[in-house]
Amino acid sequence: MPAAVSSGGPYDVPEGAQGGALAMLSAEDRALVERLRSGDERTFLAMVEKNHRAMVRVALGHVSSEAVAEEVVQEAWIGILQGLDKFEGRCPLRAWMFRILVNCAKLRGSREARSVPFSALESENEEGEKRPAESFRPPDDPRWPGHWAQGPERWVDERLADSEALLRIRAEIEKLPPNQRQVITLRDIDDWDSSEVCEALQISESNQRVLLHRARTKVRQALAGWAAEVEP
Amino acid sequence: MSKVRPQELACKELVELLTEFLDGALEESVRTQVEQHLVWCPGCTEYLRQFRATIGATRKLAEEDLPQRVRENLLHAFRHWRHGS
Amino acid sequence: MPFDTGDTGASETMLAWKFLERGRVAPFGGHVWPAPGTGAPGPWIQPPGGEVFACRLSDLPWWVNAELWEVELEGPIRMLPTQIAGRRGRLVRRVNGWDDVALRAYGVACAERARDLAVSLFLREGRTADADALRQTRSPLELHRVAQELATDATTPGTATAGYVGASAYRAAEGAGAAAARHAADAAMAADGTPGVLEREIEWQSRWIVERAGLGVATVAAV
Repeated sequence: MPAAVSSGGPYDVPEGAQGGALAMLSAEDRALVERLRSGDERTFLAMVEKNHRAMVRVALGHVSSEAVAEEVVQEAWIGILQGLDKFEGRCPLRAWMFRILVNCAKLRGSREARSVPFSALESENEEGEKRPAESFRPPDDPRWPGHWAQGPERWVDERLADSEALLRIRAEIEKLPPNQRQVITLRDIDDWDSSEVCEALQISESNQRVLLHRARTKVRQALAGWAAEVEP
Repeated sequence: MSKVRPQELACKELVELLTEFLDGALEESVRTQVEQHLVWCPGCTEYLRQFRATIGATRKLAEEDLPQRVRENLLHAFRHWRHGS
Repeated sequence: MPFDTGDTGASETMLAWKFLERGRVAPFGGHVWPAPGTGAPGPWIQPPGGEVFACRLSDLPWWVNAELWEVELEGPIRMLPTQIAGRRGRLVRRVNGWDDVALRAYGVACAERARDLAVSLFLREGRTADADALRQTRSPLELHRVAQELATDATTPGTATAGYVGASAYRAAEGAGAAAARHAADAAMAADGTPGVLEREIEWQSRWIVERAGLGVATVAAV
C-alpha cells in the first residue's frame, strides 16, 4: 500500500506500518473515527472534553503560557479534523492526535520568543516551610553505605486527603521541566498507560520511566515536609 | 550495598527503582531484591508508602472543565469541517 | 542451601507457606487475601498477569511478616532461589503459632545470638570488660545502648560486629523481628567474611521459625 501523499506541515503525521484502511485500529477507535466522520457532535465534544487537560499540558511543554497552549490545542483539533478523512488507522487514534498536537505546539513555540526562563517559574520557598531532612549515608560509611541516615518522616494519612495537598501537587507539577511535566500529567493525572504515553510523545519506554520517576520524586519531596505535620 | 552485603541494594539505589517497580518493569531478580529489602527496612517501606500516596493524590487532579468559549469554537470548527460553510 | 529451579511441569498443587501483613494484606502494598472459611480453604486467587509467591521452609527468613499462613499453590510451580511461584494460590489456614508475640521473640532471639557472637569476639580480642558489659544487658534496649557504645569503628571483628548487634537489638526492642534478624545476620557476616555464613544464619533463623510456629508437624514441601 503506497504511503499517503504528503503535503508537509504539522498535520502530516506518518502513520507507519501497513494495512487496510482502519483495519488495524481497535474497535473502539474505529467507532470513534466513523462517528466523527459522520458528523456526530456528541462524540466530538466528548473527545474534546476528555482530552482537553492532557492536550493543554502537552502543549504547555512547548509554549510559554496556558493561554497560548489553549490556542494551540484548538489549532491542533482543526488539523486533526482535516486529517481525519485520510487517517488510515495504522496507529492508535489518540497517539496520532497527540502527535499532531505536538507538531503544532513545536511550531508555535519556535515562532514565539520564549520570554519566560525556567527560573522564573520557580516560586519562592514559602516562609517557614519545613524542609525534609532526609539523607543517605555516604559511600565510605563503615557499615551502611547508601542506607538511610535520616529516613523519611512518617506522613499523617489525613494530610493527603486535604485539598491543600492537591494545590501543592499542582504547584510542584507546574514547576517541573516540560518533559517531566508532560509525562507525569499523562501517566498520573490522566491515567494513560506507559505505551500510550510513549506513542504520543514519541519517546522510549525507559526514557518515559526516567522522566516519570524524576517528576514523582520531586512531587513527593515537595509534599514531604508538609505531610508529616500534624495540624496545630 | 551494605558493607557486609556488597551485592545487595542499598536504600539510595532502591528509591531510584520505585517507578519501574510499580510498573512491573523490573527484571525478576531485581524485583525480588527490592521486595526482600522492604521486608526489613522501615525507611524504604515508608518511602514507598509515600511514593504511592503521592501518585494516588496526583490522580485526583483529573479533568477540569472545558472552558465554554473553547467548546463553542471547536464545535463551530467541527460543523464547518463536516458541512463546509 | 541447594534449590531446584525450573518448572515442576503440568498443573499440580503444592502446599507451602506465606507471610502476610496484618489483616491478610499482601506485602509491598498489595490487595487483601480472602480468608478461608471454617474448615475450608479460601477462594483461588489469580493475580492479573502475575503469579502467587510462597515459601518453602528454608525461604521463610527472607519474608518474615506479621501473619503466617499455610497456602496452596497451583502449578506449574516455579522454583526460585528464595521462593516458589504458582499461577494461582489460596489461603488454607492461619498458622496460629506465629503472632506478634512470636515475631517479637524471634527478633530478640536473633539479637541475642548476635550478642553472643560479639561477646566471643571481644573475649578473643582480650576485651573482657566489654564482653561482660554486653553479656550483662537485661533487655534489647540496653543491649542496643551498650553495643552502640562499643561500635566505635569497624576496625576489628568485635567492633564491626558490635554496630550490627546494636542495630539488631534496636529493632528487637521495637518488635521488628524481620529487621532484627537481618542485622543479626549482618553481624555474623561482619565477624566472618568467608562464604556460607549468610546461608548458615538463614538456616538457623528458619529452624527457629519452624520450631516456634510449630510447622515441623505439617506434611508439606520439605526444606
